[in-house]
Amino acid sequence: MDRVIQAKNLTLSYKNHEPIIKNANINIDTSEFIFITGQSGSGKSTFLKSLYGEIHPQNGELIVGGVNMLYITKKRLNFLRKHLGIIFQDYKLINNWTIEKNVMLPLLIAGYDKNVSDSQVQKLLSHVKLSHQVGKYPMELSGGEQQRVAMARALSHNPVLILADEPTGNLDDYSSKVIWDLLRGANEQLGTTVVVVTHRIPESLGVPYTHYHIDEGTIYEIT
Amino acid sequence: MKSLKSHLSLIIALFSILFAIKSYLFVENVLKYYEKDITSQYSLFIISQNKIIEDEIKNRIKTIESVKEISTKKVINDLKNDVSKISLDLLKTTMPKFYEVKFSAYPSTDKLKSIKNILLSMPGILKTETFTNTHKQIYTTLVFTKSVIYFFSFSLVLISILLMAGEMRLWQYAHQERMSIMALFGAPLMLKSSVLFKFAFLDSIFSIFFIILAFMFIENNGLLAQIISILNLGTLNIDLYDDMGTLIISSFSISFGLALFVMIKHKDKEL
Repeated sequence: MDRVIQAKNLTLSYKNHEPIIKNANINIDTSEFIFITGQSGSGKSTFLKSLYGEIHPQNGELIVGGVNMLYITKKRLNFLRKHLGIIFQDYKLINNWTIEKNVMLPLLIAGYDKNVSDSQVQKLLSHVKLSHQVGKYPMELSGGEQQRVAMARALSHNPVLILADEPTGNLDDYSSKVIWDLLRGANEQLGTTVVVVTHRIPESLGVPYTHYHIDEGTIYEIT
Repeated sequence: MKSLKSHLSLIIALFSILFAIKSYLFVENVLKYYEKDITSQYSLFIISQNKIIEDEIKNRIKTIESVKEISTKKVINDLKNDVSKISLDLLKTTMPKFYEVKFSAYPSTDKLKSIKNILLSMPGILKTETFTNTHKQIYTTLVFTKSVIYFFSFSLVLISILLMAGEMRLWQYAHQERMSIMALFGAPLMLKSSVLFKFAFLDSIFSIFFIILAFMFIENNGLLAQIISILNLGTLNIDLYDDMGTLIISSFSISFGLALFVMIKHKDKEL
């Protein structure tokens, strides 16, 4: 199995602050489903942000998709991000774009043909049960629906790695179920590696997973 | 609606700048025409004991266009009946020569003073004559008009640019979020900023379109004819569309320049 993420003695901190993650060692392989839990402020989101380059490692080694994040250039980072599917807790949808265009964003960046993009978007909107909302803008949708749009966007370009930050944090049961089903589907059927930061692991996910926990800056595996 | 308002503000600012540039160019043209007109009518007179060689004078004073000898025949003819032939012959030989000097550019008061000094230092030249008062008055009016127009054009351009800069700052805030989200998905700088450039392009096109509409209005409403008649510019060929190239280039340069400013100012959170 290929290694997708490798962290060795990784230390993460915000500028001029105490380290949030200290000497973390973690290896994630292709097609793994990973949960990272921890209390609020424990550094779960910080760790996830370091995986898509929003936070620069302070010390140690962090390799994501074969790219060393310590020495990453802007160009390499863009290349890496094109192959990631990221789901944010606050959705990060572009409010003056329709939901279709939002879902299409990674495809636009990857330079897909418009017809291919259109059909892919329609298919995904149907998967997230939002076909009836086509033409609407994010602000016209409920929080659960917006997160489903974000989910569709994260899956649109068949990423090798999905990073999800509290994807069901504020969602109703129905939207949560849709999200978990899609994450499981991507992992099971496409072999996509999934890393989810969450407070609560769903009771019946239906796929094997690895559980890491962050406590006082230390990441350890729960077996 | 918000987006339309933002576009309109930028289009109006761009339109004002283009109008200011056009006004400046128009006034510049008119002033050049006036200057040429005044120059062609203005002359300096030289009274000289010797014959003046035109090239010699032109070599010393570059702004001199022509030196023409004024015939004294008429004066002598007028005196024919009142003065004896001997006196007339004596007058013919002793009478100084008169020259009319024309300039290629309207000289300033200081320049005129230095021209006169140079001429008077030349052998044989006895006197130079200009209509100093009229010259000074016309020249001062010309300089004053130019200064006023330049000041107003400059102020208008400055105010419009400040307006546009403010608008661009709003754009920056409006586009910051979108650009940051696009960056999170690996969009290169040009793709993130493409919307800005599309807006800049569209707004430039619209401002050019509105300026053409304004020209058409000025032309068809008889306003241009009125201006031509008031300013007595009958022989000046005025075509409002003459400077379209300059205006188009200005419009695109300004809007793309500002879009570039927003693009450079944008900072992604990463790295």
